[in-house]
Amino acid sequence: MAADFKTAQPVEYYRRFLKEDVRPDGRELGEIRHTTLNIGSITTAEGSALVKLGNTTVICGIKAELCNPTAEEPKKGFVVPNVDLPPLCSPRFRPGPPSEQAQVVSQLMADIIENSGVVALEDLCIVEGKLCWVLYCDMMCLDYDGNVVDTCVISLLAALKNVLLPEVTVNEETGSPVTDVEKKLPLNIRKCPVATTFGVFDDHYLFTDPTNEEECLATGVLTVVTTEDNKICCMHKPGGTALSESRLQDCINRALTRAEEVRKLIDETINSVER
Amino acid sequence: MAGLEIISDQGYRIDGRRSSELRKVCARMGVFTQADGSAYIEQGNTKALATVYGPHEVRKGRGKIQHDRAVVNCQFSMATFSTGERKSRPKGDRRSQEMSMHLRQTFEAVIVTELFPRSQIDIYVQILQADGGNYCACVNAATLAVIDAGIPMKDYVCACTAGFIQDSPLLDISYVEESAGAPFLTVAMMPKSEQIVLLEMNSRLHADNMEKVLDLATQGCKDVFAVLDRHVRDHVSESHALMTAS
Amino acid sequence: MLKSKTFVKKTRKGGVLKVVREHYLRDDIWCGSAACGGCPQDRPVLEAEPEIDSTLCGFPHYLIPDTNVVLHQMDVLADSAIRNVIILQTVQQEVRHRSGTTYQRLRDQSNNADKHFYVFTNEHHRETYTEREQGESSNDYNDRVIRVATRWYNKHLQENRKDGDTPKVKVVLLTNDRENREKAQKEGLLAYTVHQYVKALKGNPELVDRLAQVDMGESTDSDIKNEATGRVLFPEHLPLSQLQTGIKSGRYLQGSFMASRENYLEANVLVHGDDSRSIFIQGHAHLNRAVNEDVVAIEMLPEDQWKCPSSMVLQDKDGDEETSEPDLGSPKGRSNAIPSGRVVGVIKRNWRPYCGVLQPSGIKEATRHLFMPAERKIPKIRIETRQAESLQGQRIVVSIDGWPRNSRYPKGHFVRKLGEVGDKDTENEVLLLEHDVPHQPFSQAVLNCLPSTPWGITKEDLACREDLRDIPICSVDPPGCTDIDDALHYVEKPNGNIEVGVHIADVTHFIRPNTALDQEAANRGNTVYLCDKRIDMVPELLSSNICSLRGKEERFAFSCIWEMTKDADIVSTRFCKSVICSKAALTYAEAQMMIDDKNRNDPVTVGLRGLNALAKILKKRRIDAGALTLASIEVRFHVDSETHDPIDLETKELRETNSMVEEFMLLANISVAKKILSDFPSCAMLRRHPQPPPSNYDILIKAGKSKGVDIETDTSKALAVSLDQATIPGHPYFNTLLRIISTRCMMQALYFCSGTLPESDYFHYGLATPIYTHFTSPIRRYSDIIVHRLLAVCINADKSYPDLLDKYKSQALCNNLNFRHKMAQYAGRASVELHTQLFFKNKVTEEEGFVLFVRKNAVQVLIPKFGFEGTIFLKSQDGRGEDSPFVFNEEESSQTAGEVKLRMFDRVVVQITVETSHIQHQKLRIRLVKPQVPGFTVPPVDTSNSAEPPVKKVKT
Repeated sequence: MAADFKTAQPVEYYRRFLKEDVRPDGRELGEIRHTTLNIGSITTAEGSALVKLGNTTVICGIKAELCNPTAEEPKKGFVVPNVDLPPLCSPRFRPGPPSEQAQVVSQLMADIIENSGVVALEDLCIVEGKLCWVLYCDMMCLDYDGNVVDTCVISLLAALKNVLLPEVTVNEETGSPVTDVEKKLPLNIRKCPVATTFGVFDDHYLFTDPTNEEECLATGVLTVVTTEDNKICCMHKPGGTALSESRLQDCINRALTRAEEVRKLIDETINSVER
Repeated sequence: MAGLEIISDQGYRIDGRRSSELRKVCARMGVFTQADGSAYIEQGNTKALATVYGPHEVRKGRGKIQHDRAVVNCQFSMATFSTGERKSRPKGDRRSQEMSMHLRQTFEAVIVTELFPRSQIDIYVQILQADGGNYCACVNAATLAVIDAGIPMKDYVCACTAGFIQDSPLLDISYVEESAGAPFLTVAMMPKSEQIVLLEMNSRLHADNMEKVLDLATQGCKDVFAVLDRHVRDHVSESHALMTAS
Repeated sequence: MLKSKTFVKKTRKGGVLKVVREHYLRDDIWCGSAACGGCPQDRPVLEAEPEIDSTLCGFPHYLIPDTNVVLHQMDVLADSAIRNVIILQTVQQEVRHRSGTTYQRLRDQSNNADKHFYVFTNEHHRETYTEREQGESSNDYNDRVIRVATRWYNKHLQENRKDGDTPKVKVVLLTNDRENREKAQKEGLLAYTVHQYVKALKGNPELVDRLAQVDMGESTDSDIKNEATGRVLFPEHLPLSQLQTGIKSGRYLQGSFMASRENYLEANVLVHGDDSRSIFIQGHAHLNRAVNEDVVAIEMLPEDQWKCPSSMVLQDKDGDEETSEPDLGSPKGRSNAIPSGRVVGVIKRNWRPYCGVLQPSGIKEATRHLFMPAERKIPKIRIETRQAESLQGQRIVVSIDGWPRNSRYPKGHFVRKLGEVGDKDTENEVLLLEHDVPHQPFSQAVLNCLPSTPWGITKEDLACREDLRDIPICSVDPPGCTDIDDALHYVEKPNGNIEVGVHIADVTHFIRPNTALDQEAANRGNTVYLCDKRIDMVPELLSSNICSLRGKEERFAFSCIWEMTKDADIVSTRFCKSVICSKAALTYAEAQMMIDDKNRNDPVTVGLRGLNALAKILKKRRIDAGALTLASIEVRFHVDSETHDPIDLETKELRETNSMVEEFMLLANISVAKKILSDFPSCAMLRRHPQPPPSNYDILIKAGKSKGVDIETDTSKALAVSLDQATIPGHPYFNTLLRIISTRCMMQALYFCSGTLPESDYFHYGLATPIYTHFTSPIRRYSDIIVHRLLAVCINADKSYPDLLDKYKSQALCNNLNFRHKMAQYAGRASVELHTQLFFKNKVTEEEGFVLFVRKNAVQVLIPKFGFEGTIFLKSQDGRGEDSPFVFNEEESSQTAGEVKLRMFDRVVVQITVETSHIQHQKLRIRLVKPQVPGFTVPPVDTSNSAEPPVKKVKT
């Protein structure tokens, strides 16, 4: 019976649940799905992390390459994020060029990296104007069940913390880079941004960590990204229902506590992985 | 001067295997929720993921509809971070397209497509980490995913490579062995009926050696089958236990 | 299927490329010991009760040598006294990485069942795998790995003893690394240096001599200064990493070090990757301990320090440790200075065991001795031996171990004794060893591949071959030839054309691919002809009987048959496997006589005449195309039938029939080359002869100019024409001398696999043909065997096999064949030299000669009658010859003493004797008789039998 009702009138079905301050999957409104983390599983990558937020699964692999810095910013390296939402992860996505959503999330990742300053681009410079690192951070969704943004940010941060780069010096004589095979250095992670996404339903109900289903029904979505010094480094609200200031403040507070939990999880996982 | 010694006088390969040994195989089925069927496989350091959607109605281009059977659509892609050197194009390059095509041909041959006329089955495979034998890992993962999706097949398809390096046939060759530049054969077969579904070789191998290599690859496919079959049975009994428990 | 294998991933980083490899650990790797009851192994390699009598280890034990022990003490390990050795995979791999030759020797040991060498794959064994610790150097890590394996063996053998009766077998670690040894001893392991171990062996005192003296070689800089002498004679060698970056940046150049034969203080380095570039090195410090054929890194000297080859012939005479160098500098002629450099490091040593003699020592009891190699390009070697007395007057073999900076000479150790100096067999052995000619008797495995005798042709054989037994085929060869591999025929066809056939012994019918016989032949590469000995590529049964196309016997042949017009234009070519029956096996002289004898008109004679006529047309056509006719003098010794000593010698005479056979062989080779290339574009075995770089001709042009003759060298055609025109009235030998000099300007002809080079490089310069191969002598050349096999596949007469069509393997084979070919030539020349010496022993001979080159302190003279070249020293070797009446003029290349001026091509009369005062190097001594220079020349021998030597008639 319930299934029929859900199929026929999904919005009404959902509204009934929210009225009782509970969601169809049994979560409370502010509850976030169970988060699991697997770091360093892709050995071909310089750093990698697999994150599961409920069913939503994202893998992030970071490859480092040497390249030349631009003339405008000779002291800076590059971090190039990309988010892939392949048809593999959900029937929503079709084979072909990257979907609009994938491009939006990719851009959001780039903004978060830049605004939070998670990695100082100067740290990636090896020889000014000559040689620097470029970090390609490729995030791929393997199973899409909503809230891919939060999952991506966690996977990105965890993978960055997992990165080990060989020490590279430049041979003065030949001008060619020399890699020290023995010495591998971790990246200096300056800030730890964590995103928390909220869904708005009927301009009234606010719930965290929307599933795929909830995303489809929600009238608005808001993402708050905070760093460990309790600063907001990015907010993303692509249209939809307007939010009052107090509501927003609620969101921010929730985001701050969530960020704390996530950072703890990442650190614990990293410490448990032996290098 | 001294290049890599692919196989030692004592008969051990670089990674310590003997010439007719497979790498360690780990597999899991039903790993994802969105897909109708999914599987993950590790063959040594080669890690592949496969998901299956369908059978569902034919999307995009109704011209593709087959009135007597289902259309199989395959897409192969490799994660940018899956190889030593970053792949700038994870899919759509010639090699990936070729792989996709091979996969489609392979699975069209084994899925009982006649049961689903006018519909479509999607098989997506993703290489997360590549260390030789990518195609094989994909086929093996896809087989498990198709089984997981409950789509009827005539038989399993199991794939395995065998190479001919330093005058001896080697089973399930890894990336280093592949890069030694020696010929290698990729075989996908239905292990029970011993029918070869796909056979590919891109370099020159003297006909005298072909038989040895093919025999080894065939044996490899059967070994893979034994492992996959055990996984499937374990998985089914586990799910069954869960269902009866709940 | 994999059983229970846990695995550990190894990540190796090279550049920014992350390489990930799996590493499986196994529990099915057995210990290889017959004393072990725990491992389910079939045939254990190590003996249950190893016996070796030692004062140090008086109990049954196995040895585990570390990497450096294997690398440096292979001569000890290879001794039959050393058995039951465990070679760890770690050690084996490291050895493989560091020295290909030592690795090969190590493999030979493990393949020799009598030696009981067991390779233990420790890195994949679950209990001996050792993870590298953070910050641990790779050396420390390897040492630790070796200790772990040693400990495991001790424990394993103790726990798994078969039964109570067998003695407990222990494992002894051999390492010369003090730290490693101390650590091992602390861990309760038995560890000794090789020296301790070998010295304690009973009953093998000679083994001590074979110990390599490397401890000092391994020592660091500070150690060197601590040594007694405290002197450092040579600049330091830069570490490999520094050399590599230097080479990458272009600061240093990498090349092969080629020591000068004439002057021990000079060498050239052939820069890799740029064949024509050669850098000159002069003086002790600049040569910096490089030995002939080493791969070295050199630094160019600034142009104002460039040197000029001293044009001096200099041999290392003084045995003392002084480093005083004779003055090599050229007083004038900065303009002659050529690009020069100095050795900054050695990338790869190419040392091998060297033959030679011990230099007599003043002190009887001395253990330190100097060894003089037979090869003049190799420096003397300091060795330690207690059996010096018994080694005097003996040919011995010595290996170099190292060359410390404070030592004038490299240090080495005694390997084995060959025999008495001057004894012909010993000297033959020396020259075979020195030229790396495999000359052991054929093994049983090889002999097993031979067809059973009596051998006959069966019906099945005939069914698949063309029957050419009725055709008048004959062979023409030098007298005494028993390995006849070619025969010819000539038949006029009804249509007026001519059928010409070349029939080559069908060796590949008997030598099947990948048999022991085939592998042995491929390794030998060719038959080596010494003056009194032939070292066969294939066993005699084949070479002189079953394959040899003997007269009046039915034989298998591979035939190349042309239809030609009377003008020698080829109408068609075909190839077939056939059965022939040669009507006559002729010598060149016999064939010539038959042609000239107007009364003979039998089919063979008619055929010979026809062939001769065609050959002349072919030859003319070839010469018109620019083929070169070069000269070298070949001599033949008449040998005493009992003593086998040479009693007379004659220069080989060339007859028309020689050239007749040669023309058809060339034609067959070219036809076959075209055929196999068209069918196998990427794996045909061909022979090329590159055009020499223009600078090679400088010496020829200069020589010509000195007599007012212009030599054009732009193309082979131009060269051929100008050589033809170069004659001087009254100097009949001039032209031949010029041709001899031109021969020295040429490059080596090489075998190659067609897929490895662009087509433009296939060219054969000397023969002026775009493509060439060797097809006609399969009995004595392995290249021809490959070509036969390829051709047989082309005509569907035989099956191919994998290696035949693998261009890399083919090229590797070509490289071996090229090497063997070169060595066979050198060995042949050395043999002539040896026999020449024997010939002149106890004789004083006067003979006519011609000046070939003028050097600063010597002139080199060619003596046509004996076909050899000798050096007349005009000044003492250190170049300070104030007492010499001769003055050297570099521009003119002349030496003047009063009235007498010696220049290139001048005729002289010389006296030849064998100098026996120097036991180490018996050599011919050549002294000037005419023109007379008072106080320098020797008077003519006053005997009636050596009157004025007859002026030779010279053929050009």
